[in-house]
Parts: sequence; structure tokens; C-alpha cells
Amino acid sequence: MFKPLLIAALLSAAALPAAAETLTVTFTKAQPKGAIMVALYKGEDTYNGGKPIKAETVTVTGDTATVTFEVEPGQYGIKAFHDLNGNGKMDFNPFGMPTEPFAFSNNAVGRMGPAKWDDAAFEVSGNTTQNISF
Amino acid sequence: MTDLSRRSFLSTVTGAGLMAAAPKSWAAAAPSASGDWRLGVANAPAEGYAPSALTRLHGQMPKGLSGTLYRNGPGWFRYGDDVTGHWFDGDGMIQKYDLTASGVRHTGRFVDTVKHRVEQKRQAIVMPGFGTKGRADAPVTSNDDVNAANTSVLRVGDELWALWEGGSPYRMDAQTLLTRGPKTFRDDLKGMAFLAHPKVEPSGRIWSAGFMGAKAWIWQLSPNGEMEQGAIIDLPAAGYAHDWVVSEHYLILPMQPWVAKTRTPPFVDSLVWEADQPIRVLVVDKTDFSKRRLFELPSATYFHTGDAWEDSDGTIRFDVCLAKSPQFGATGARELVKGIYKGDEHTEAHLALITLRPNGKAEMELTKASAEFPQTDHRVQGLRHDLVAHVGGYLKDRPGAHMLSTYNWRTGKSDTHDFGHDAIVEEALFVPRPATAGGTGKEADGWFVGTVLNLKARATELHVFDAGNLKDGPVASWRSQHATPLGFHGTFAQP
Ligand SMILES: [Fe+2]
Repeated sequence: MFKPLLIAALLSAAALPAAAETLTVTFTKAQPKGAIMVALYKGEDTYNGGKPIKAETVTVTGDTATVTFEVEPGQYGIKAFHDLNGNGKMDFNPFGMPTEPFAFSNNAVGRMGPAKWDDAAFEVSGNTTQNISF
Repeated sequence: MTDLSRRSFLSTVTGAGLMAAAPKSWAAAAPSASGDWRLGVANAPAEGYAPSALTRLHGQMPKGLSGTLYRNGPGWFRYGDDVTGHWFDGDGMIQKYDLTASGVRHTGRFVDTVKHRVEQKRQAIVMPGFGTKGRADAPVTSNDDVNAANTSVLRVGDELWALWEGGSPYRMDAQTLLTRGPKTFRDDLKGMAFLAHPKVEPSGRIWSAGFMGAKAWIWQLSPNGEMEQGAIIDLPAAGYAHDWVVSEHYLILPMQPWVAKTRTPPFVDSLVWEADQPIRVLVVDKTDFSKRRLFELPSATYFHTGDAWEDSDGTIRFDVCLAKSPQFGATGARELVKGIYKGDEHTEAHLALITLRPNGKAEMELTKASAEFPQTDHRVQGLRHDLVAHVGGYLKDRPGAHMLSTYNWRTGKSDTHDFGHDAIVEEALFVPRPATAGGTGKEADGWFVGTVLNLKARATELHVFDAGNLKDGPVASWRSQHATPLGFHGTFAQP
């Protein structure tokens, strides 16, 4: 009775990285339509042009939306945009300026471009929450 | 908080209080011999101007003249010694003058832009602009976050659009002047540049443009301001374009050799003056944007055109105010907000007539008329006109014009009223005499209505002229309770 439970616990710990933490990302002040596309980057290099470690799409039906990631501890950054028209991509006007809302972790703000890593980077150690406002 | 309220208080008092609130840096500037021109670039009260009646100086409201004069211009420049980088970066403020048989009433309000809100909250110059670098932590996610909405106005339905040139028109309630937000014409066109100089055809159709590098976006709007069509066109040069020209059949884009080389703010620092390069004039067919012609004019710089028309043989003509050097925009207008004026005659613009021939030849005919803020009879937009009104007559010891004139292309004659050394003359608009008051519909059958900052009286004045006779002076004049900051452009809405 006791033994199988212990084995199951050990097995699951082995299947996931050493200490998996839950990163909860809550988006606020969103328009209740379309979907938010969230890209999670681990470390400065991937944030500055590499591939996200995880990506999620969350449908927006109210003014908030939440997505969770299971990740190992470390330094992370988030880039998100709100795909208002649901066409699966971020839209730009004919002069190349974004026409859909976008946001970064820590609510960091870029100057006519993405927010800098130094402003967007956050630490995951233990269960972590990011509140991002559009 | 204490500091904040103290500043707000100081910025709302006029007269002696104005200089008390002036930045320390102004103390170094030599005082002007007459009234202090820096009144024109002082902060307006943050809460706006409460409605008040102007005091009549002389004359009576002409029979048939009624309506509202809306004017836009920069109205906020500094937080203590933190000064905006350029006169063109002051926060847009609308002045509204209601003209009735019983006189003139005034009210004014800031356009509630993102830029104005952010900077008022932080009590600091934060956002990048035409000539302002902006702070590293400026919260900028789109052009409209830095939109100053400070250049002109367009009346569309029950709305007044406060216009800039690098972002959307800002919609306001035309009666209360309360801001409704940026105008989005279509979801995919959010934040696109929209000139402060749209042209309204006699049919009511609205043409505007937006510029970015060597590309322009053309806006074709219905009379009620809704999208009819738009398109990108390639330009012959990335010349700075503050204004353009539209004739009956053509969109005319004179690209001056003041060329954007980078995209790093502030914008004006990205512009390089290429004095040996021509003005490249692109002419686009209104009904088929792919039909394009190119003309070349000698090197010159300009901010404003008057209007265009076409001769029966297809020749296109337009009036424009040309200067030899863009120094005013590049540096002079930066110094103004610091309280510094160095007169430079090369920056003075003169009225010119441009002729674009069907054989591809282009001509530039310069007049001796010192001219800025050209205005024509908007009823004949894009059609033949003889008269162009303009301000002019620049001085060495203070910025701004002191004369209001008309120039007649048919006779080659000027008609001028000189307001004198103590007056800074602002744009005057033609208001036609309505048919109900005996109006004939002919050009110059009406009035010019304009404002003047009287430096001695420390008050803004509104003057009404017979359009055909400026030299005898205004037929009626009123004086405001306030000296409002110098503005750029306006529109007159008749009932
Ligand atoms: Fe202008």
C-alpha cells in the first residue's frame, strides 16, 4: 500500500526536471475576443532571437486570461501578443507597425520595439506568478 | 504632491506669475525691446480655458458672419526646467472661438493624448517626438503613444479631429472638445500616419497621406470620414513632407531634398539637407494610383502649400511658401522653446507659383512676398484661384509674422495690413459670405478671420477683414481674456 505510492512519486520526479515549478501567467485588461499567443524564453540569448522553450495559445473570453507552464528554475522572459482577429499571427499596418496589442513579462515596455531582456527577465524559483497587462 | 500642485498653480497664473514660472534658463535670454514674444511658447493652463467673452475693440460682426473658428497648436512645453526639444512637440491644444451677432466667445482644451497624460502624470518631458529625444523608459508601443495631436484640425460630422502627421487623427467632440481617442479607419490601418494637411474636395471627399521613409500611404475618405480606399505608393525620395497638394485630378507630392536617413529619434535629427538636390514632385492620378509622373524643381524647402489647379491644357499650378534653408525647422524652432531667437533671413519663406507642364518641364516663379500659412478659398479646392492669403514680414529681434496679406496671381498685386512690431500674426482663414447674406459665391466675397498675439496687451485678438480689402485694416476686432500659445492651423465651421 505504502510502497507503490513512494515508487510512483519517485518515478514522476524522475520524468520531470529536477524541481518542476509552476509558472502562472495572468493577462489582464484584454479585450474579450481572439486569443493570446504566449512565448516563453529561457535565458537572454533565446529571448533575443532564439526559439521559445514553450509556447501556448489561450482563448480570451473575458478581460483576463491565464496560462500555466511547468518549468525548471531559472531566468525567463515572456513575449505575448493578443491575436484579436484570430488569424493566428501578429498583424502589422502597411508601415510595419503592430496593429494588435503586445506585452512582455514584468510589463516591460520597449521603445518602438520589443522590451529589453534586462527589463523583461524574471526569476522562477518556486511557484511563480506573472501578471501582464495589455 | 506639494511640488506638483505648486507647479500647476504657477502655470495657470498669467502676467507676473508667468515669468515666475518661467524656467531659470530664460533669465539668460535678452529681453525683447517690446512685448515678450516668449508669451507665445508659455504653458497654457493644464485645465484649459473656461468659456469667456472676448472684449470688442472696434467694429461690428458683419452680417452673415457666424460660426466657429477652431485652432490647434502646441500648448504645453515644459515642466520647470525640463523643456520639450522642439516647438512642434508641445502638446496639442484646441482654441474654439464662437462668432455670433452678439460677439465672440472663447474656450480651449488640451487634446487628451497618451503623451499628454503620461507627461502630466510624471510632470516631465518623457516621449520622443519631432525634435525631442525622449526618455529611455518612455512607454511607447505605437505611433499614437507619441502623437502630439498639435498641428491642425478637421471638422468631420459632429467630431473635430486634432491632427498631427505621424499618427492617427485624435477624435474630439466638436462642441465640448472632450477627447474620444485616436481614429482607426480599419483594423489593419491602426496607427497609420495621417497628415495635418488633408485636402477636402468641393464634393466633400477627403484626401490625406502619411509618410514613412520613401513610402507614402494615400487616404481616400468619404465626406463623413470613412475609408473609401488607401494604398502605398513609392516615393522618389524620403523627403520630409509636412504638406502636399491636390488638384481636381491629381495628388501632388513635392518631395523636398530634406531627407530622412535614419529612424532614430528625434525625427528632425534624421533629416539631412541636400542643398544640391532638386525637389522631386510626384504627380499621381486620383483615379489610378499607378499612373505617375515625375517633375524636378530647383532645390528649396517648404512647410506649406496653398492650393493647386489645372489649366485647360493639363498644366498643373500650385502656390507654395519656399525657403532657402530648413534651419528654422532643424534648429530655430528648437531654440524657441528655450526662449532663444536668432533671426536668420535664409529661413524666411516667400510665396512662389509652381508650374508643371504636360511636356514634363517644371517652373518655379518666386515672388517677393514674405509668406507663411497660405490659405485659399476652400470652396474651390483643387480649382483655379486668384487669391492666396498669408502671413509675413519677419523681424530680426523676435519670431513670427507681423503682417497679413493676400497675393493675387492674376494681377501680381499684394494687399497687406501691418499689425506692427508688437503683434505676432497667426493663420487667417477665408470665410465665404453666405447666400442668405447676399453672398455671390465669387472668390474674395467674404472675410478673412484670424488671430493675433498682441504682445503689448498680453492677449490674443481675433480680427475680421473684408477679404477684398486688407490694407484698410480689420472691419471688427475683439480681444481675448487670455494670451493663448501661438498656434499652427485652424478650420472655420459655418452653420
Ligand atoms: Fe502645417
